[in-house]
Parts: sequence; structure tokens; C-alpha cells
Amino acid sequence: MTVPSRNTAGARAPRVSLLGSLAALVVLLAMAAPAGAATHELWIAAVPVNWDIVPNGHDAIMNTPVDQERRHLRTVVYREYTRGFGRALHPGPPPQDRGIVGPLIRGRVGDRFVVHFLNKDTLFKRPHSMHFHGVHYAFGSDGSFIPGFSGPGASVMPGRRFTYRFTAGADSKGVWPYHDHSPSMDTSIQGGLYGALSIAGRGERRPDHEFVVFLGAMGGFETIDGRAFVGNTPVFHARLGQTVQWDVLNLGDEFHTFHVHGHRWQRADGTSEDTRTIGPAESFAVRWKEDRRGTWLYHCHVESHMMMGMIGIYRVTA
Amino acid sequence: MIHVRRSLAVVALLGALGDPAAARAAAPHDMPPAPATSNATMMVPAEAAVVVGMKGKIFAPGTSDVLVGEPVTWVNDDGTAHDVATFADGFDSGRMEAGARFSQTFPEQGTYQYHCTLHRFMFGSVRVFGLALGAAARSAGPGQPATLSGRAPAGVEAVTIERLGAGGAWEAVGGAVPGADRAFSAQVATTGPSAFRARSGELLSPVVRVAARPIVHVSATRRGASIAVAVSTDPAQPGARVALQHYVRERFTFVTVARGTLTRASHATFSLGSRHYERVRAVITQGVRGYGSATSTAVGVPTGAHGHHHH
Repeated sequence: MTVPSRNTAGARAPRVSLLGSLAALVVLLAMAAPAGAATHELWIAAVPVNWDIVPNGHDAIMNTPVDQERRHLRTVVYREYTRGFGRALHPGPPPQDRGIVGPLIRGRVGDRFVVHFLNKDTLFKRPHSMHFHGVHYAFGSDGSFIPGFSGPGASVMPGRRFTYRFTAGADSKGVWPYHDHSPSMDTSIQGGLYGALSIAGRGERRPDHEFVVFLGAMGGFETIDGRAFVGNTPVFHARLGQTVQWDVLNLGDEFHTFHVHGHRWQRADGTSEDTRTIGPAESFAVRWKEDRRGTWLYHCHVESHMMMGMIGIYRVTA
Repeated sequence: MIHVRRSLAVVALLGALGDPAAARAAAPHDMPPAPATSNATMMVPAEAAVVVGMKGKIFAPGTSDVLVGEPVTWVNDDGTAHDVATFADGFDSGRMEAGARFSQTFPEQGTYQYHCTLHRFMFGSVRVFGLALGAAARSAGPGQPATLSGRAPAGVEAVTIERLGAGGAWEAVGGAVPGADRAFSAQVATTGPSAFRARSGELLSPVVRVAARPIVHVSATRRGASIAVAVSTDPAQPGARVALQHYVRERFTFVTVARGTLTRASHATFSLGSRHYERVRAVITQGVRGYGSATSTAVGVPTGAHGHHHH
């Protein structure tokens, strides 16, 4: 389906007649983002990959090999493209600290988002969609399939496109998941078709590092960003004095407890913790200023999950 | 991963077994089934029962290997109805509700494609063999025997292992007696790259190739801020592809940092820029003259004079 193209300022070309121009100006002012807010336009496609859950081939901590056959998963993931879906923004293997997760969509309270979605699932030929938590949108951009009620954005067939539009309200500050909510949702989520939205406050200072930690069962393993066991799960890096933010999300059927060694953070009531429970579709961000060198484990503290791969390392250097 | 070919294969069969609701007599088709692949590896079914599940609207495993006369059983362990059908005239389980089972036996060797008519993206295949044969390792070092294992249908009392000789003739090099579970195994000598098959009367297994592994020698010497690495092999492997790897602690594995090709004299040299302590090794990723891949032992190289970084 064709979508009127917009530049990043979001302005529509004014009509020719004076009355038309005035009318357009009024419309423009009514629709314009508040002063200081931005409009983000993105092109994201669902693409098939042959995903390797355990690239280093073993559980290094327990010194046990992982069977070649179990490691790979043919699945569909979100990947970012250049304007108009010209080409993949990051072709080739994803960076070590991103894994299977879709592009991190960042913005601030008050920003508008225009996300063009293209279903390139030539592997399973399933419908897909995008459903965003935490932000404000009209029903047409909900992206979840309800027969008789939902529109074309809820079940986008292979080869087709849809444009989702949403805004970050004052209550959208924080970290949220986005994921498939089409009829293929169940299999898609088990295969990593999800990503994170990170909305900062208007004047909020961004951290030096933002680590996205998506917890989920995948292919018989317990994974972080679609990877299992140390060295395969994201290896995060920071230096003393830098601020780090952990965006922790969970999709699937399980509860997890996120824990980091050598550090602790504050709850809303000011008390400290170093482990937090997270259920399906929950998300949170914790932040600290780095003060301790070392190679620190971060993992789900549900023992069996940790043993099945939900563990990684975080390296802090001077 | 086993690559599934999409050729249209047709089934000649004697009738469905198992779920009575799905039982259906089928007429033999006049097209022969697709020939069994001749370069199959690791085809030995782990157990006599071959079961295919459907959870998440995916046939798993996608490819099943079975012997002539032994059944494949499909189990609907998904939450929605499915079926199992071939593209042309052939077997058809009929509608299978959640929990239903369907079995099919194949009297002839070949590859059979099937799919679910309710979900067009669900597909799989069955490979049927007279004898199954596989090798535990796809390559053997110099002088090392190869361990072959396989399965035979009921009634086969002994199996001969044959090796393809230099003149193109198959020569018997060993034998095995199938156990109660019909599995058999044999150790056979390798003389460089070898091709084996199992025979029992007219029943033949596909050919199993066992590559030979060369020995890879590596030496590494620090030269100031870099490390000179020399690679050679025994026997010579001119033109083989070689990768230089170093151990990356935070990945808990060796990572390739450079690639090259062995010269006519079967040598390669690399220069690795690094002041740190390094453990390096060389991997022949693709051998020549029928030889397979091989990895050298790892060698440690101390830090350079100016750097004390422990990375």
C-alpha cells in the first residue's frame, strides 16, 4: 500500500491556493509536534535468518559442548532498513551486544514516530505485524489481530507493508517492548521477532551506554537477546565513571529474575536491590554510574534458566 | 542442517497404518520415487521409532530418515488441527485433531516430500534407505580408523562394509552383525580419503565419504608489536584454505582474524598485530585432494616488551 512520504520534519507541502494554504497551515499547526519534539521515521522489515544461538559451540562455564543441530534456528527477525527499504542498514552479522533483537527505537517524551513495516518473510510466508507497548496511538496502529475489528496493520501478509504511527506521551517515559501481534505471534515471539523502545524524558540526559537485555526461551535454550551461554550472550563493556543503563525486557511464557554481580540499584522507594523479577511483557530500566572494575556476570537467577544459557558477562575497565 | 530438496517426489505405497480414522487404501503411482541421496551423512536413526511432531505449526524434525519397511509416525502435539499429505497422489493422513497420530511405512527407497494442506508453510520430507550408514566423524587423522555405524531392516543377518578402491571397484574391508535393535557398527582402516558403503545381498546403503585429516603445524614468534605465524601441513595441501585464529577470552572461543591459502609448497604466513599475550592456531577450513578440515594445536605467544595489558 502506498504511504505519502514525509521528510523528518513531518511537514506536508502546502497547497497552491491561498485559502488552501491557510487551511493547510491551520492543520499543520494543530498536528505539529510541540516545540523541541522530533519526529522519527523508520523503515523496519521482518526478514528470515538462519540464527545461531550458540556461536562458540559450548557452555564454557560447565565445559560441555552444544550439539551442532540444536544451535541453529530458522526464524524471522526485525531489521532496520534505509529510507524506502533501499537496503539493510546493518547487513551481515549483528553486533555482539545486539543479538537477535530488532532495532532499538529511541526518542523522548513528546516525540512522534512513523514506522514503516515491510513483511519480507519468504521463509515461512506468515503474516506479521508490529505492536508497540507504552506509547499512544490510534486503534489503526495497534497492530494486534482481532477478526472483525482490526485493520490491515494487524496482519501484514508477506510482501505487503503498513505504516504505524504513535507518539510518546509524558507517561511513555521508560523502556517498552514491541513485537509481532499477528496470528503468527506465538511462533514469532519464540523466534525473536521483538525489539525495544526507549523513551527518555524531555531534558533527561542519556546514559553513556544502553544495554538491551531481552530474556526469553528460544530453540530449547534460555536466551539473552537470542543467544545462550557466556561469550554468545551479549558481552557488554563500560569504563569507570560512565553511566550505564540496562533495559530489561521479557516476552514468552516464563518469569525471570534479572541479576548483576558487583552492583546494586535503587527501587522507586529508595531501597536497594540487585535482583528484580520480570514477567512476560514487563520491562524496566535501571541505571548507575560505573564504579567497579571487573568482569561481572549478569544472568537470570532462576537456576535452571541460568544453566540453560541465560547468562552473560559485563566488563568494566579503567 | 540437512538441506531439503523441493523436487516433486511421488509415493508408491501399500496403505496407511496407524490411526484408523486416517486409514486409506492408495493405488500405486506409475512414477518412481526420487532416488535416495548418495552423499547423505549421519542418517542413522537413533531409535527404531521415528516420530515427527507439529508443535508451533512446524514439522519437527523437518527431515526424517527411516529404513524400508519401518514406519514414520506423525503426532499432532500442536494446539490446532493439521494433516500430512504429499503433493501428488500419495499418502494423506486426513484431518488430524490435536493429539492424533498417523503412521506411514515405505516399501521402496527414495525421498518423499509432504506438507500440511491447512498450513501451506508446513512441509517436511522422509528419506527411506535399504540400509542406513553413517560415520561418527566425517574425517579421520592419518592412520586413524573410521567408525561407521548403521541400521539394517529385520531379517538381515550380516552386513559387509565395502570401500571404494583406486580402480573404481568396491572391495570388502570389514563386516558387522546387526544387534537386536538392528544397529551395527564397524571400525575400518582409512588410507587417505575413503568412500564406504554397506551391503547385504541386494540391499545397499548410500555411500559414506570419510575425509582424511591432514596434520596442521603452526609456529608463532613475537616480532615486537606483532606476531609472525607460519603454517604448514602433512601431507602437503597446496591451495587449501587456511584461517588464522586467536583465542578471545570474552568470547570463550577462538575467533578467525585472517584467512589465506596454502602455497604450492603447502605453506602460509600471517602477521598478527598485537602486543598482548595471544594463543593462536591455524585451521585448514577446506582441504584439497579429498582431505577434510583440520585444526592445529594452539600455541601461546608472550606479551610484547611495551605492553602489559591483560585483555
